[in-house]
This record gives sequence, structure tokens and C-alpha cells, in this order.
Amino acid sequence: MLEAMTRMDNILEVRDLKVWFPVRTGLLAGLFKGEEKFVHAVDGISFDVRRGEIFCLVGESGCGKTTTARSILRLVEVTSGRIEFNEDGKRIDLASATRQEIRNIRPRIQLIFQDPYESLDPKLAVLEQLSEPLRVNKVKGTRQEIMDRVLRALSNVELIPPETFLMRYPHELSGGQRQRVGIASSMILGPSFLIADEPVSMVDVSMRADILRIMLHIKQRGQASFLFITHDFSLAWSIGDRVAVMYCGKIVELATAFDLIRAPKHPYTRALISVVPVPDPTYERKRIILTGEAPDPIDVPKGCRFHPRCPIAKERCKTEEPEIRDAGGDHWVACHFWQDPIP
Amino acid sequence: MTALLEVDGLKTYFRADGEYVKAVDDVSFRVNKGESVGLAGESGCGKTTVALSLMRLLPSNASIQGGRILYEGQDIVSMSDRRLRKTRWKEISIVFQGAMNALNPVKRVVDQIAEPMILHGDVSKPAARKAAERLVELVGIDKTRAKEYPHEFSGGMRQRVMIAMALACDPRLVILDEPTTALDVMTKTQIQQLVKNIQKELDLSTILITHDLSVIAETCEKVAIMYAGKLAEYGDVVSVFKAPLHPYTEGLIKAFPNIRGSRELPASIPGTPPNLLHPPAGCRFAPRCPIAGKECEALPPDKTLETGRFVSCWKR
Amino acid sequence: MRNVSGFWKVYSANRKGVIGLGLVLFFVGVAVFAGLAPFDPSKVDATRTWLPPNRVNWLGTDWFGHDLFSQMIHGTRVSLFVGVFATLISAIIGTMIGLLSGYYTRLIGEFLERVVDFFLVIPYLPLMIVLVAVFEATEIPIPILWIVIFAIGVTGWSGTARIIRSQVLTVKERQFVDRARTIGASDMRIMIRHIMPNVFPLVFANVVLTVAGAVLAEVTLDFLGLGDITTISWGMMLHFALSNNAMYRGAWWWLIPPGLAIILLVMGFTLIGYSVEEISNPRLREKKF
Repeated sequence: MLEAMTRMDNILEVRDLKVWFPVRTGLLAGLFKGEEKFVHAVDGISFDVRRGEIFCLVGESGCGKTTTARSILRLVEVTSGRIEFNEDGKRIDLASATRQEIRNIRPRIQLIFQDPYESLDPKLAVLEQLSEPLRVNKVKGTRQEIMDRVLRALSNVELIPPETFLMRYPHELSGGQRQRVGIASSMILGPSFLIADEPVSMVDVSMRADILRIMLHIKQRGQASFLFITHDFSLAWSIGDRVAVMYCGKIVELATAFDLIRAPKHPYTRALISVVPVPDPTYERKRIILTGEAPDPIDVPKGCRFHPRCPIAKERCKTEEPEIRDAGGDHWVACHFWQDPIP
Repeated sequence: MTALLEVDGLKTYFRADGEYVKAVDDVSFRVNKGESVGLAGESGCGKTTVALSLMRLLPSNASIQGGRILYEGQDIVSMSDRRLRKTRWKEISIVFQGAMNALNPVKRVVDQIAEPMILHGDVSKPAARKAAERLVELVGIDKTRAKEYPHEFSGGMRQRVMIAMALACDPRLVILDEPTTALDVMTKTQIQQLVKNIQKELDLSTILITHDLSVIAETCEKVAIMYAGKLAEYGDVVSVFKAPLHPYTEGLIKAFPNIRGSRELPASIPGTPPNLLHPPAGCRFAPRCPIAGKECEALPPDKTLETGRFVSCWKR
Repeated sequence: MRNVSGFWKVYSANRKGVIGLGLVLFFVGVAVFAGLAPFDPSKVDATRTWLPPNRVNWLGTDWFGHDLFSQMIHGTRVSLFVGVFATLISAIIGTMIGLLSGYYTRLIGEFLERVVDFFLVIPYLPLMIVLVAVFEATEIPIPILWIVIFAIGVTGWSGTARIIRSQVLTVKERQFVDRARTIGASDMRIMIRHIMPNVFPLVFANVVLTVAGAVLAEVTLDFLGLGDITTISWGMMLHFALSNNAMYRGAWWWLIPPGLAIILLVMGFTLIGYSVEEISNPRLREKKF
């Protein structure tokens, strides 16, 4: 299993991570104390991010991928499990670290947000957006040195000439430009690990490639490793190194981007990939369209979580939850019958 | 094939501080009977404004400043209010963007679907209810759930309800404005399949408005590409995708990553769309165009080829 | 609206705002130039009591021969002074508590929320009266005027706190707050540099409306005789008028001017408050074209 494979070149190791939220019951229900219900947003996942790679976490909304990202940064509290951040030979478990330890490590792990319209403070100009991380982390330097850092950060995200952007406010920038300012403000502290949560889904299509290219450059220059969260397999195909697919709080498949997308094994992955739209009207393929929708993470189905919608589910799937296993070639699947063809 | 809807030189402007934002500036296309047309473009290109203009549902600060919208020969732009009300929903209906949040939370789903039928007058309440239940089944929801309230439905199911509502008065043309944007890819596909089936079964014409070219490639017969309030290209889906004429179309297609292709970054189009308050005098795409030349400083001609394709470019 | 001139351009287009501002500025002007009043408002003239408006006393005189016109002018000062200072106190308390209870939702937040609810539920008038009466009875050497200001400030903050709290709750969920947290900003910094500026427009509108309320509260306290009897305020004028049966004696000139002035001043602040609210909340704006 994954536990045995702790490597020195993993920058992040997640082991059996669980994030459960208590369900707020109504006033009366709370008085008659019954069973407390939980939202099993993340229900025991394990994966590694290797140094210098772009690791994609793919899944539909509600599968737990965003909660995973937020728990790594301790924006939500972890229920159980380990999140080991491994840098310069030092290991720290983010899940159990103290608030002070988290604050110290913050500059090393940063987040790229989804919404370019919401992730920038509308009252701050670009210069202030970028100098704030430096000020908050008490980075030393003369005013000129700080200014140089800000200008360099803007050039790195291709906002050129950088001087012309300093005094602009978010509402004066396009979505793509705002997203780049967001990336610049995340990069200015020199993090070694970036979590990008749907970084291009709210950016116009013609500007997405720029953002992706900037991220790819960051990776290729060896500046940082990425955890890339998305629902869009085509993005994982374009820039992902390895991909994990989440369903209802669990990882159902994990492999290199090439293997997972060209030869998916889990029936859920196979269905999803078969329906990814392609900008070619002549392309024909058999679409595996699942019925119904993903289950409520409060009342998770017994056995395999996917069995109610699975086209190849059998009796065993209703009672026994499949373990994630190596199906050969470092391609991990959590399915009893992944070898069966889908009708 | 007779045209069910013909848009001819449509101009819709918004008033802002005494000036005009030319959101839709001389757009023409047609929709034949039983045809599905995709209207594509990025944010701000004017496609939603076109949809609202077709049903004359524009906000108070916008107005149609020119052109005609011929539905079965009658011009919607100059139609009387009475005739317009008869046309709305009975002939042309619309499913809005984010429509799933447009449902009345205190009315049962079946009642909301039946409402337009009753309002348009010619059915009794019980007959309308029955017809509504049939529509609920048609959009893939179990009939027993028709009596429930919107909050008991998931996002995908609510979108199906919106489609059922749009079909309530048996229209000939349904406009769908980004009907699946906020939904998961699997739910998106389910809804797309549903719309395709319904279209075939009821011989409907549809106009699908979206920024997602891949969806148009998979579900539409014709496609119109809009840029900065103008029509850049129009034609049948296969020729436009396989051999795009307008440089913007070409750039846009390349900007969509192809999961069946090789592993590479999608392309991007440098620059940003123009300000529609003061659009450039010449071709609106010229500042971002890889093949722009001196002649592009003037508005390009509209060329309609015999094959029915249309492109607005000097170079093609 | 990035700056003052932008704000002014929008504000001046709003008719009620301009009327309100005009009223308030008028009274402020009167208060500032109160020294130009024709008579000393406390000057007593036994020969000229109960006179209706005449050439010497433009608004007539009261039971002691005080010139009512001068009293009205000086009364403006008191109303504005108490209104503004009491509002300052309640705005500061309300904003702090609103910020903290909105930002911290667990222990501190819950506790503060209960405190706010408590104060919201208590009828402010009896509470104010009790506070003033108790303080005056204990004969603390604080001028009664300041006791009044304190009482109004301390009972009037709960509305502000509630509004700010609900605003903070929404702003807190916005992504840029998450961003501030991930770069390592402390809670205090987030509250002051990120949440406050984005909550401010509503706060401003609310504060202006609170001034209107404070002026009314002051008038009420004076009218009930709980204010400083030696200072001349509109409420005091009404207090003396009624306790001397002005109505019965037909001395309309003693009753109407103070009442009218109170109405106009409160209305002025209210109009400003509503128009600022409209401007900062686009949903309230009417579509103008």
C-alpha cells in the first residue's frame, strides 16, 4: 500500500485523511439527542505529491477535492489522518501542527483561487495586493527592494510592463489579468508548494492557456510543485503529471495522466472520460452516461460508494467496500471488478 | 428548408451615462425548422443580449435600435404587445442561465410547469396539471415527484424542470442560454442528451447559447460565432470546425484542450476584447488577430458563400 | 466610486440626499453662528412674558420672558452636539461588537451575539431613563449633559452591531478573505484591513441614521425632564411649554417651532442616511434612464 512507499522526494504525503463536518440539526432535533450526523466530505484518502510535479485531483462537485485543498492549508480542521509536508529534510504534519507552526510554514504553501472576481480585495490596488504578503510575513527590505520584488512578480506572470499595473484596481482588470495578479501574490513569498483550486474555470477560454502556461513555467523552472484541483479532465490531460479521481470523499483511481486518461480502469473514470466533450463534431465514441447523481455525503451508500450508479455493479459491491490496489504499473484502482468490460 | 426564425441586422444597445454600449451590432443568422443552432462566444460578446432581444425581454436600459427578427415572416421587433405575448412561450420559449434558481420555492413543481399553460388560456386547470405531469416524465423525472417543491430537487433535476417549463405551451423554438454551465460534466451530458432527444421527438428548433465550443460541436447542426457584438462566422458545424475561416474561430477552437489529441497546452489569444462603448472603427478583432493587415482598419465586408457559410473578414 | 469626487457625483444626483444634506447643513450653520442670536437665551424679562411673535421677539416669549427665537437657535447646538457625540459612542461600541461577533463565530461570537440580542430586546427608552435617573441620583460630579450622551450612546449601539455583524458574516466568506488568511494575515489584520473597508459603506449609512435616532432620544429625555434643566434645548423648551400649560393658554409659538425643528433635523439625517444606503446598496437603486 501507499504507506510503504514514503520517499524523500515527496513534498507532500497525505495519509488516510478524513474531514467530517457535523450537521447542524434544528433546535428540536438537537434537544432530543439522537445520533449525530456528519458530512463525510473527505473520508480516508491517501496520496503523494512528488517534488516538481503537477498532481491533479479530479472529481465532480461535492466529491471532496476542494475540502482536501482547504484542509492542507488548515482553512478547515482535519478530523483525522496525516498531511506531511516535507522540505529541506524537515517533516511537519500539517494536520496536527499548532497554529504557530502553521503560520511559520504559510509562506511555503500557497493557494491559487478559483474566482478571479472574488479572490482580490476590491479596495486594494495591485501594488497593495502584492506587498501585503510581504508585510504580513515581516519580510525585510527597503522600499525599493520590496518594489523590485513586486515588479518582478508581475513580470513573471506576464503582466508587462509591470509598472503600468501597480496602481490599478481589480475592477479595472480583465478576469485573466486578475487571476494573474492572484498568482503573483501567491508566488511573491517564494512558496515551494502551490495548491491551485480550479484556477481557470472562471476565466475566459481564450485566456486560459496563458494561466496554464505560467503555472507550467513555474513547475519547469523548479520553483514549485502543484496540487491542481479541477473537474475538467482536459486540463489534467494538458498539464498534469499524475492524476487521482475522487468520488464521494474517496480516491477511486490514481495513475499518471497518460495512463489514467488513455486507459482508465475504474468504471466511474471510464464513464467520465467517455463524456468529456471534444471540439470535433465528427468524433464518435460510445458515451457511458450514468443515471442519477452523486450521493449525499451525509448518507453514504454501504459497500462501494459508486455501486448504485455503476454499470457493472455486482452483489459483492453492495456490501464490501473495495480497497485501492495497484492494478499494475503504478496504476491504482478501488474496484472489485475493474477488469470487466462495460456494456 | 424554410426558415423558422430569421435575424436580420439586429442592433441592440445599452444606455450608459448618456452613451451607447453597442452590445449587439448588426447580427444576422437564421434558424430552420427542426434545426439546432449554436451561438458561441466569450463573456461580453453579446450572445445573451441576442437571446433576450429575440424575446424582447431586455432590461429597461437596453433597446433594439435596428434590424428585424422575423418569426414565420412576422417581425418581432415591431410586433404589438398583444401579439408579442401570444408569441412568447407559445411559439418561442427560453431557458435562462442559472435558471435552476429561478424556481418559486413555495410552489409545487407541477404547478409551476402548468402555470404558463393556464395563463395562455386554452386549458383547464386539471388538464394543465396532467399535461405538466407528462412533461415531467418527458424530462426524465419520476412522475411521483412532480408534487414536490424545488428545494427537494438537485441542481440537475431543477434544470430539467426549467426545460419542462419551457416546453409547457408546445413552442416551436426553444432558446437555451448556458443551460448546463453550473452543472457537473455527467449531469451536463445527461441534460444535453435529453435536449437532443426532445428536439428530435418534438421536431423542435433550438438555439443553444454557450461559450463552450465542444458542447456545440457535439449537439448542434449550425454554429454562429460572435465577437464583440458582431458575427464573425456562421455555418454548419462540421465545416466551421474542420476548416474555420475567421481567425477568431480558429483561435477559439484551438483554445479548447482536446482530450483525444496530443498532450499539449491549448492556445491562447493575446489581448482582451474591445470596449463596446467605443469600439474600434475597423475590424473589432484586428488588435488581437495574427493575420491582421492595413485593410483591417476598416470594417470588413460580410461574405456569404454559396454553401451557406458566412464570414466577416478581409483576409478570407 | 473610488474617491470623494466620484462619490459626490453620485450623491448629488440623488434628490433626497441633497435635501437631507441641505437641512442638516442649515442647522449646522445655525448652531455655528448661534452667537449672532438677538438675545441671550437665558435672559429673563418679566415684562415680556407669554408674548406671541412680534417685532422684537420673532418667535414670541415664554412664561419667563425668554426670547424663544434665541432659545431655538441655541437649542440647535445642544441637539447636534448630543446627537453627534452619542452616536460616536454607540457607533464605536456597535462596530467593535459587530465586527467581533461576526468574525468569531464560536465562543466569543456566540457570547457577543447573545449580548447584542439582550440589548436589542430591552426597550431603549425605559433603559435610558433608568440610567440617567440613577446617575443623576448618585450625584456623580459629571455634567448632566454628558450623562445624557453616555446613556444614549450605551443604549443605542445594538442596531448598528446587528447590521455590521450580518455584513461581516457575508464579507468573511468571500474568497479574498481566504487569500488573506493563506498569506498569513492575523485575524486582527483581516478584520481591520479587509473586512472593515468592505463593510464601511453600510456602516456609514447606519451611523447617519443613528444620529437621527440619537437626536430624538435626546429630545425625549429632555422632554421628560431628565436632561440638564439649565441648558436650553428644543426638548427642554417643549418640556417647559407643556408643564406650563402652553397648549391651554394657546401659546402655539412655544410649541410649534421646537417641534418643527426637531422633525426637520431628524428628517434631514434620515434622508442622508437613506440616500447613502441606496448608493452603497445597488439593489436599492431605482433604474434611472
